Amino acid sequence: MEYRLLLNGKNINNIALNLEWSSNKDTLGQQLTFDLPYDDTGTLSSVDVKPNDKISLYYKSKLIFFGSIIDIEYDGRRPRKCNCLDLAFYLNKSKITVQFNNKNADEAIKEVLKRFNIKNTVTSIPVKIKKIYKSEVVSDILKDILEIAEKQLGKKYRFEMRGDTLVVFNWNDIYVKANVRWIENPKRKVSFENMKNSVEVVSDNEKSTKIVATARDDASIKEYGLLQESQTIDEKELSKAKNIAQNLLKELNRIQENGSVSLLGNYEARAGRLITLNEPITGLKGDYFITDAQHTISNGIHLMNLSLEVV
Amino acid sequence: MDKEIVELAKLFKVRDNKSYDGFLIGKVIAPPPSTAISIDENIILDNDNLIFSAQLLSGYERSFEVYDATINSFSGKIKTTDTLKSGDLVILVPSTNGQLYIVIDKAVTF
Repeated sequence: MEYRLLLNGKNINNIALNLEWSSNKDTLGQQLTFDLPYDDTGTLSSVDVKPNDKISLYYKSKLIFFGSIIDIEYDGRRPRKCNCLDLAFYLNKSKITVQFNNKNADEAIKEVLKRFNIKNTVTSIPVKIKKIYKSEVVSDILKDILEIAEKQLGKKYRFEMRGDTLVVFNWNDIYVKANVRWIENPKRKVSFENMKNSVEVVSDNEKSTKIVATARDDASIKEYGLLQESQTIDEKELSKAKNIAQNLLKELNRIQENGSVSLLGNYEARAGRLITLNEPITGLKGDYFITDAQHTISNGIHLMNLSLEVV
Repeated sequence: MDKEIVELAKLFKVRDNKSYDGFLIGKVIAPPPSTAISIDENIILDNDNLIFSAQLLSGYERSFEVYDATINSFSGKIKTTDTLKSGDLVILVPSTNGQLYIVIDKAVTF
């Protein structure tokens, strides 16, 4: 079996059941669950689980998941359900107070992670951060820093936990090479409900609210009608208002497309990565961004359900 | 985790009110014009984060008139010649996004 599930370093492939793990683009970190059978006879007593036991999942020699058992559910004689989260759990639960004075975004992220002793690899993000974060959840601070970078540079960044290291990368850096010839349950939805073809940027200065920049696509307005978005920005970012308006227009001025597929499982498929599909019946053709990935291994067969969004 | 549940959680989070802490007492580390006021061991506010009440600064002028006084009435202009010093405690009112603070006056407690 190419997948190995280890509890505190001990292989429990032969007793763990219903192994599932998932990731979502909005939650930092992966979640993993498995069941351990209830044992009346005492033969399995060598496997004794308690919260904070370490769980690792390997594919051949690659570490896919490393984290701790967060909770264990006991239900009569039914199998015990173990819920595990990776190290990002600490970033989601802890709050800190920190101030950045024109620090580079990547330096700011490294400084925050250093406080939690979490190893990290952060790509260079050439944006200066000047902001005060008071008693805020760490993962929210990281998301906010990446959002500021995205608004100014028009480039998206993602972060994910790989083993015990947090990696921040350019979003179009990682493609998943999965077997996409066998596709089950392809679904696709196209809509212009959330399309915006005109953007107004307003200053959040308490002294005066005025429009500091606009961006419009007149051809789209003629075809679909005026759909306008208003965005407030910090007074400090006024010089970048025009850029922000144009980046926002580029992001919102299109028909949204999302869908889902079931594929043969590939450990590389995680939320935040890209995958190329060619499914003619529903029209899922091209590059898609994985927003949610759910993996299951049952009876030795690895399957995955991916929720997708067009890039 | 089901993605529908994550969507629902996101909707709840959007409605989360950011807690507003109310006024704070800060300590002046460096006096105006290159002001530095600390509100916490981790946070030091500089001119970009502050709006001052004018009468706190030196060079602030008001015109005035004295009447009903026991000395002969007179009128004129008054100009402040001092301002905040290092070590002073000041009353700060934060804006709702926590990035801008108004310096009201020196703080005194009994």
